[in-house]
Amino acid sequence: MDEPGGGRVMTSWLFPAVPLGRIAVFRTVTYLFVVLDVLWLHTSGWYHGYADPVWYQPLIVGEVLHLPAATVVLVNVLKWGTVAAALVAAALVAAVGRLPRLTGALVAAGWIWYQYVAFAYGKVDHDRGDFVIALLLLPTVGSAWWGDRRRSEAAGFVLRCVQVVAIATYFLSAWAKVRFGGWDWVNSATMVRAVVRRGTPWMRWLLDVPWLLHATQWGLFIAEMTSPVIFFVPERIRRWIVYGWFAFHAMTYASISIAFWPHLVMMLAFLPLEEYAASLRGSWGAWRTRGSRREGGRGSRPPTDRSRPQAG
Amino acid sequence: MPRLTRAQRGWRAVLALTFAVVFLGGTTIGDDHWWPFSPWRMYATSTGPNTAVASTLIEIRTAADPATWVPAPLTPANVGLNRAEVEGRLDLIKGDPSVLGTLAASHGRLRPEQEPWIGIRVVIRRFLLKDGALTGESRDETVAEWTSRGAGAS
Repeated sequence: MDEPGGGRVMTSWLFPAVPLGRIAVFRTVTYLFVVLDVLWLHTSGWYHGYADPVWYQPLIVGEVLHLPAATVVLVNVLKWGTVAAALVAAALVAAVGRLPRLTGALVAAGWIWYQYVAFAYGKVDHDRGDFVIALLLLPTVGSAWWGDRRRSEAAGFVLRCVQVVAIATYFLSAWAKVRFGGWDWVNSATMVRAVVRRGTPWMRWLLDVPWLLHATQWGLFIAEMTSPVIFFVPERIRRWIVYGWFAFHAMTYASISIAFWPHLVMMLAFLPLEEYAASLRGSWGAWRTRGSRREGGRGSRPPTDRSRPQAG
Repeated sequence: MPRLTRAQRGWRAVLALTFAVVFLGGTTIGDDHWWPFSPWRMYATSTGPNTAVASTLIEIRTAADPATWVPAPLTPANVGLNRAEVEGRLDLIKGDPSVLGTLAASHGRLRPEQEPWIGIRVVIRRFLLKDGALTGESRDETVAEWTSRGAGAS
C-alpha cells in the first residue's frame, strides 16, 4: 500500500491478517450464544409482547424505522426466527463455512430487533453494544470454516472492531460515571446501592464493610479508565488482562447477580480461538483413539506456528 | 492471502469511523434513546453516603381478600415489565394511576392460573444510609393506587 507512514500503521492495525479459522470459531460461539440468550438469558423482550402498548417508549432507531409496539405474535416470530437462523448459521459455519452472509444478516436483524423490543419499554441494558456491532460486521467476512488457515484482512477488521467496542464498554462507562455521577462517583455509595438492590445472600456481609465497597469503586474506576492499555501491551500480557476481566465479571455475578453475558463473549475476540479449538479437537481425538494408537501425539498438538494473534 | 482492495478498505474504515463517532456522541451527549449507541451508564449515578437507597415494589389485592394488600413480584413473567421499567415511568403512573390496570390485565394473560388482581399500588421503599452503611431503617411511600372498576373501595 502506498499510504504515508502514520496512515500505514493505522491501516495495518485496523486490518490485521488473522486466520479465517479464528473468525469461524468466533462465529460459531457468537451464534450459539444468540440461541442461549434468546431462549434463556434475556427473555424480557418476549414478555413485552404481553405488556400494554401504553408502556412502549420508542427509541430513536425505532422511530426512524417505524417499529411498532410489541405483540405476542411479533415476539414469537422474532424469538423463534432468530433461534432458527442462529442454529443454521452456527451449523453451516462449523461444518462447511456455507452461506455466512445470508444467515449472519438474518441473525443480526432478528436479534437486534428482539433486543430493541426488550429495551423500548423504559429500561435499556448497557452490555450489548459490542454484540450488536459483531452481528452487524460478521457477514462482511465470506466463507470460513473451523481449521481454515487462510489469513484474511476482512476477518481481522471484524475482530479489531469488536475488540475496540468491547474495551470502549469499559472506558466509556468510566466516562459515563464522570458525566452522570460526577468525579465524586468514586466516593459515593453506589456499590452499597447495588448490593442493597441486587445483593446475593452470600455477599450481603459486604454491607458491613463499607470501606471495601468504597475501595472496589476506586479499583473499578481506575481499571476502566486505563482499559485501552490492552492495545499497547505484548500478546501474552493481553491474554492475562482478558482473563482478569473475566475474573472481575465472575465476582460481579457472585455479588450482585449481574452478568454482562454478550460482552463476555465479545472479549473472546482478543484470544487465539482457533488454537483453543485445535487443542480441544486434539484432546478429543487423542481421547477417542487412545489405546488403539501406539505412537500418537503429533497430530493432537495445536498448530502454534501460524496462529499467533497480531500484535496490537 | 486474500488482501482487501483499496475500496474494500475504504468503506470499512468509513464504517468504523461512523461507529466511533456515534458511540462517542452517545457517551458525551446521548441518552438511553440512542441505543445501541447509548451511554454505558449502568450504576453511573452517585448515591450520597447519607441519603437513602430507593427500591420500588407493588402490592396487590384480590377479590378473595379485598381488604389485604400483599406484595407481588414486579417481574416480566408476572406483569410483562420489570422493576426498572416501572420505576422509569413513575411520572406516568402518578399522573394516571389507571395505567396500573394494564399490569393486572397482563398478569391475567401471563398467569391465568392465579387469582385476578382487583387492585394494585406502587410503593417506594427507602433504605436509609449513614456514612455509606445501612442504618436498618426503611420508609415506605405509596405513590399510586388503582382499584378495578366494580371492585369497590376497600
